[in-house]
Amino acid sequence: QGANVAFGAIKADPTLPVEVTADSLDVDQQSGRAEYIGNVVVGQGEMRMSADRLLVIFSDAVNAIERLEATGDVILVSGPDAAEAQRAEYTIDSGVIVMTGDVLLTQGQNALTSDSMTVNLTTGTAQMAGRVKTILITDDE
Amino acid sequence: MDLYSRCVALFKVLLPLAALAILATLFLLSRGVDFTATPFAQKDLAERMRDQQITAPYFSGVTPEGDEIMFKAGVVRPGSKGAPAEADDLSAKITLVDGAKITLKSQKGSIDMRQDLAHFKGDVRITTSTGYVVTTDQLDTALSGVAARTPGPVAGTGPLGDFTAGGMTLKSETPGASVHMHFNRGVRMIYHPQKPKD
Repeated sequence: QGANVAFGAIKADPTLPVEVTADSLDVDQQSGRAEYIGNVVVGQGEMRMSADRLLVIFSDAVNAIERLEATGDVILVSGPDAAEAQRAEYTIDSGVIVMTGDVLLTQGQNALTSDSMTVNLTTGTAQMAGRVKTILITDDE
Repeated sequence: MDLYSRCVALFKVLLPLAALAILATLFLLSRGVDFTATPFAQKDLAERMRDQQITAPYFSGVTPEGDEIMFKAGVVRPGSKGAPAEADDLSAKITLVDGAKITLKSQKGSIDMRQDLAHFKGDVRITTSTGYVVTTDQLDTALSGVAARTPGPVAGTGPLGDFTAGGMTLKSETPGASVHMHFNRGVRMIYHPQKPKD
């Protein structure tokens, strides 16, 4: 079963510049494959994503970055919402991030866990799929 | 003998003589060349006399893995005892066995055969066929293989955007593996996605 939730305060603009900081960047001269290694932080507008490693998939056809693959305790923060997972794939043009591997989404006091989650930054929505569990904290004073 | 044939006989003699006279002036009355002005300034001559130098030397070789390396320089002055040779506008062109190309360029540099080390100094530019242009102020590279390192920070642009890093190394992890350009000591990259074409 799936759950649709709002994610992120504002509609993100996928054409904003993407800033990546990391400990190191490795570029294979033969295949052009590039990978950031060591506390990688990707920032674009409101969105921040941190991970251990970030692989950049480059499409020569359109000479632009096709998507970013983050692995190793990925944390995605956008506005008040934060999500954790083991892997995340961010397709820049469409602004869609697919997170997989025991996803934990925290919104204010509520927490949802699932197998995978698809976040669409441009529409500010997220679909969670696969064993979605919701923990609602009711304030009982 | 009528007038016409007398004229012809006369011209038969006069015209060749005139031709000879004009031809003679070609060699005798030359404008004269002054041999004193040579193309070198006095300072150049003194400098060349003082120390030897090699202009536009180059040497190239192939590494065991099959990568081709060619070093070139504008001018190379042999170092004094123990000091490596000094070079002006040093450049190196590396063609990897898989076809990728890397060029290194700098204003100054030094080449030390004994330590198998070339040192690039001053406005060093590294360009690769994968589209990266990296600038730094110093770079050390081996002469006999593809192994380069920058002691200081680097800045550059590439398909991934504009970036700065604390340092860079250029080598293949294991011999025979492909060469990796590794930026370390903190990397910061800005990538501007083009407008999605919709």
